[in-house]
Amino acid sequence: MKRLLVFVPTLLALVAVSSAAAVNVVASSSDLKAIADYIGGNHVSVKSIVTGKDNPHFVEVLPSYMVMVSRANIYFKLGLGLDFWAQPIIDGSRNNRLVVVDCSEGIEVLGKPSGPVNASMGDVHPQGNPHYQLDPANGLIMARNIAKGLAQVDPVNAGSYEAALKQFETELRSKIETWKKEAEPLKGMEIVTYHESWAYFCEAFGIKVAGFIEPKPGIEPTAGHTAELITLMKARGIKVIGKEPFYSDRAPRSIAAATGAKVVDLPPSVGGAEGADTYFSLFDVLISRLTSAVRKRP
Amino acid sequence: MRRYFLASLAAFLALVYPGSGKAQTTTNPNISFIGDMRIIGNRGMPQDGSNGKLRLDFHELELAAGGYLNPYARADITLSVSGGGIDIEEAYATLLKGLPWNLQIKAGQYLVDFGKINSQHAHKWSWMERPLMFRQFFGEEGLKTPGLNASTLIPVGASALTISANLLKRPPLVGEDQSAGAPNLAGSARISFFATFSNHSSFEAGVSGFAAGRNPAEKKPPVMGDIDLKYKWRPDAYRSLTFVLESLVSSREYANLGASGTGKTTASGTFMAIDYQFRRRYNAGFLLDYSQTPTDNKVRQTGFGFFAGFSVAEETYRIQFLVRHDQGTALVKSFETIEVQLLWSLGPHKPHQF
Repeated sequence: MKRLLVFVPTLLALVAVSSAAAVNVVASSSDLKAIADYIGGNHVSVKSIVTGKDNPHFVEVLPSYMVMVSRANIYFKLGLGLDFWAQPIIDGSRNNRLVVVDCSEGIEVLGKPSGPVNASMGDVHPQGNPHYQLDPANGLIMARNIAKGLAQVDPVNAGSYEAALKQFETELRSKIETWKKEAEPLKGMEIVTYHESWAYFCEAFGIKVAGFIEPKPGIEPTAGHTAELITLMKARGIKVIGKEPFYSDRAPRSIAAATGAKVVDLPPSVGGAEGADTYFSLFDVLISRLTSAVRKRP
Repeated sequence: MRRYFLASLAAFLALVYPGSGKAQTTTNPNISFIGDMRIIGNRGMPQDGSNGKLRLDFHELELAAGGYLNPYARADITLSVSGGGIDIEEAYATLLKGLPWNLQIKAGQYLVDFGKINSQHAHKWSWMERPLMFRQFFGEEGLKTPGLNASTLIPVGASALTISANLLKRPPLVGEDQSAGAPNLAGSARISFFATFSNHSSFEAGVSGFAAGRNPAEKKPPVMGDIDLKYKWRPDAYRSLTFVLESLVSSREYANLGASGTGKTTASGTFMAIDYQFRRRYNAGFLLDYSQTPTDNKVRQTGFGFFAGFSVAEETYRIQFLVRHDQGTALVKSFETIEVQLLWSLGPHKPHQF
């Protein structure tokens, strides 16, 4: 009994010390979580609101997310209007000491509308295409923003974050070279995607997006648009349809049946498919799925 | 009591408007409109002459504006424009952070969080109409009154316990003698617990209480209690199942004998709905609605109905359909209602589903 009386408080103290030592991080997406995990190592405990299997455009603001953020020291936002739901979660958390970092800072934004934006264009993001995590070169910028934020809330371990950032940069640069070589067969290939999520990825690997299954961003496929897309795909010989796992495969399958194209499930974020467990393996999976689709096509 | 209320309000205003004296250089609240147009048909409702006739009803235009006042506070205003004129549905400022014990303070006029459903705007409901019990006990608009709200969020593991208390201007209660000079204040509180079972399902349970100052015609102050449950399963963007159950009980005691002959009336109401979203844009479900009359529990209204919805384009354009049967009482005959609702939204505030 005496031993128990000593053991329990000691255990509780250890738990308290270990949890106090970690920087509590919440990230909007699983990609930001993966990079924060890499940079922060043992000094951080990272959670994300959206998993790789969820559509980041639709997130219900839940009290459990507010609880998560209420315990956090730092919040990493995707920015560019994609995680607009993060602000009510942050407000609901009532966390006065929370540092909020917009990880899109420094990104060269694609698809920035040149004129006024309105809802007749669909769900257009006025600040530009927010799916920047799909260009691996942007991973470097995201990592820098994350390392800077972590150093701000945990200056004691700033050196460790800086070292991890350097290691991440070296590893990512080397991987980018490898991916570019592996993606050679994709260069110049035309593809149809479900949503306008793949602009950065296609730009990075020289793929051309010829059309979208959604007639306008966020708008469900219509019969008229689908017919136009089938005509376009037949005319140009487009044989690959890329789709995020969280979108319905009804329209892609019917278009594939009419055109002889192959539907490829492309995870847009870490955790979106088996094997895509880190920011690096996400691109391994994406390139492997696309190149094998190209190889197998009739 | 009134002095305490005014002192609390003054303290809140001092926090919301920090004493720097600087004016806001720009005002850029988010401004949105939500239109609600309906085609309504009734059968068996001879009392208002609409029996068997279809009528087109511009039910409501909601004008919502909201934004930050400063880094610590925001304000939200919702005006409702209908055939009855312009009504302030809600207008309040919220102090979001910087207070001890995770407190948030809200002041203004708002839909009180007495239960889960009352504080929601009607455009969130697939069942379209405010449940009978809220209409019976608080009137067509539910419990909506000026007040001061303090709430706190207490983490319980990964779950959330929310405690909320309201000091309210006493709302007129259905069935009471308004000329008797009712006191000014009322109060309510809600404790709710929210937990997730998995990444795809969540559960919320709440208990609320309401008490109002005693009207001279009453022997005891009127009190009400409410329990609410909500379960939501949402495995992906294409499917979800929402179950809502809420029950309310009210107790009023009059100096003069009430309809029950004892002077005391205990009345209750219950609402239940199941809403299933089976495709990204389609949902369907049914509701059960029951309420006694607050001053005479022998008068009972019961209704049930089926509803369906189609979101034409995300949450910007939505068509809802309701067919409902209301069982007659001693005063009203049974009747059926068919409603088609067209909801549209312009601006960032959308008719998100419950």
